[in-house]
Amino acid sequence: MIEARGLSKVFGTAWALRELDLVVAQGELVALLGANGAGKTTTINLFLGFLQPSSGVALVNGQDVHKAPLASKRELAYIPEQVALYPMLTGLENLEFFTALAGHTDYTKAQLGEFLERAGLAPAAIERRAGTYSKGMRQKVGIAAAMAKRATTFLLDEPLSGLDPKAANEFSTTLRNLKHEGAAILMATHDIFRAKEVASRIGMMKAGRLVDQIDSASLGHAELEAVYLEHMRDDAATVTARAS
Amino acid sequence: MIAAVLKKELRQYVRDGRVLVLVGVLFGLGVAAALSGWNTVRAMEAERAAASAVDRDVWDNQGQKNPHTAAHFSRYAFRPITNVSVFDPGVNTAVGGAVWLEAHHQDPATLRPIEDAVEIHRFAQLSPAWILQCFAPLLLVLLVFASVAGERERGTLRHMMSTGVRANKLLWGKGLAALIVLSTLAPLLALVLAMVMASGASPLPDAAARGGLLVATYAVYLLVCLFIALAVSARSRRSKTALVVLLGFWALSAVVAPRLANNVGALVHPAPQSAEFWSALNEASSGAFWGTSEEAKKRQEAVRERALAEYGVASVEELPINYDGYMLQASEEFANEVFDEHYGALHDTLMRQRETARYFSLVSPTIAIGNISSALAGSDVAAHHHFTNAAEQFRRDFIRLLNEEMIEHAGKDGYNYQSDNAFWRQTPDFQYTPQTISEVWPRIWPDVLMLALWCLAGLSLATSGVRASFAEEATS
Repeated sequence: MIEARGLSKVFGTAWALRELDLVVAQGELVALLGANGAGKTTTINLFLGFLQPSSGVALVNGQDVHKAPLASKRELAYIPEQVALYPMLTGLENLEFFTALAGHTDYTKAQLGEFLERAGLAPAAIERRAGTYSKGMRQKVGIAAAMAKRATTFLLDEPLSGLDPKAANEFSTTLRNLKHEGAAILMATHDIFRAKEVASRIGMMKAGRLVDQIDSASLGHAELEAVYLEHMRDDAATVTARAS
Repeated sequence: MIAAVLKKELRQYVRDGRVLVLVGVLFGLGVAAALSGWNTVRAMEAERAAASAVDRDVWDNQGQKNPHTAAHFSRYAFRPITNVSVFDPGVNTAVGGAVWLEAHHQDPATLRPIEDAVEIHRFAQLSPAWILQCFAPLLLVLLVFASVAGERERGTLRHMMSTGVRANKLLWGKGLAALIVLSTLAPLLALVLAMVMASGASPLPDAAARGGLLVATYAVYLLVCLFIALAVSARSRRSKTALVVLLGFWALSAVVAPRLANNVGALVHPAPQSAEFWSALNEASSGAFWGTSEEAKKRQEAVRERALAEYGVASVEELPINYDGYMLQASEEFANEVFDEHYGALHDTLMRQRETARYFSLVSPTIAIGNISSALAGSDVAAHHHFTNAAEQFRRDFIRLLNEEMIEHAGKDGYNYQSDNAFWRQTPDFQYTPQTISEVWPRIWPDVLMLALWCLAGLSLATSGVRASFAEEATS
């Protein structure tokens, strides 16, 4: 489970995140929508322990990420917009390295290969150098690393950005599978339509605040977009009214 | 975690053909340096042994000759070539390996191999020590410059951080990997050792302790280079920036600073010009005793009175010894004091130059390891000074022996007296024992301390640098 309680981050005098209260239960995927600078990546960074909160707590599976940084990361997977791999190593070797860093050094090559295949990487690509991989293939290695780590919670930062439609569709399918397998997933994205497609709930962020949370099944694509655009208007009254 | 980082780094090094080429080139240079050092030492040792034998033969068979004439004809004191100079020849090729043992004169060492060398050899002498001091750090720079900066550029640092990797474990994993690559040059050390043993040159006293200290101090030096490279890589946002900074530091530390340090030392504490020095020395040692000045005449008169008093006679004619020989010995003793004063001042100047140059080890660890290496190899300026002092002491004893032959046996014949081969063959050879390690240690401990401080500072910079890169990456 991913949980924020009154989580805030101030850089100097600017609030990057203000009083965030959020719970992502197991088997749930929450998508955070918002313009650039709305606080989505700051939220992810706070859950990763990269940033020290100014106030409040960030919990992953009940562990405060700042008090127990290693324990909280044990079952946590992070997939950024660009999954960074070592171009001179094969997909399999990259996976071996990142799973070893997470403390799983007992996998055989065959087992690691299975994780990559389950993540959707073609068998022929597994032993190829990652320098030849497309963005979608790198994302699959990231997913495989999460699977190999036996992650139960996922933090995704713009994972769909730049993927071609086929790769985005495959990635959406993977996310749905993970959700059905009981993973708690928090995803920051700009892609309203993919968010609607995969998320259980959609949070809308603006100027560091979570201004709305919507059950994704309750609205159609067009309605969701309209609500989003309404939130993104620089009209404090509208936003405040809806947030209340 | 360290093992995972280490394995990944080694895999990358193996995949990167450039690393293999670099290691191969360095290995080749090392082999060439070892063979070159071995060849040079063998040639110098063979030359010394042959020259020494000829010198003895010529001396022993010079026939009938006045002892003082023989003292001008005289002999050479040859410095034995030590086997460790295969590893680090230091200043050996520049300072000369033989001193002419002449009456009335303390001559400088001669037979300098560098006089016969081509220009390029004068600029940089290929030796295993030079490879380790100059090129091994360059290899480390090229191995390590992208180690942290490259992770940031690729985004893999952030990926690693999300797994909970710790900064110090990343540092050690990467550092160990670079050291393992560097350790592939270890067979080179075995080759150098074999070349040292096979050179046929004289072993230095405390060879095992010297070898152990050399290995330990070079290991610390390479750790210094590694830590600095890791620190710069960690503090740079881009690997190209890290490379430029590190190459700049390498050029400053390994190439520019050692030469600049010596030049500044000579500038701050100028030694007298050669012609000026010899002119002053000759005037003070010979002219002041044998000259026609009042002062010289007084000195000669004082010697005459001392001789008369010593033997209780009223005139030189009544002396039971040869007075010419007595005067010659007295002039030697007078000149020896002058030599001590002039050479002592020159030595003090050279030592002050060295101390000034040593301050540059604050910006260049290469200067510190260079001082340690040549001192332990018995090939630094101080070791040469120890040899010339020993040669001078022998010269004084040797000339005294010849003068005493004349004093005791020349009688009224004076300069017409002649000794024969039987006497020449009784005279001893110059025997030289290089300094022990306990005599060397007082002059290298400041360099060892400096190297240790560099190591601690480098480790601290590398650790704080990697931590800072983690912190910056977290907020980026």
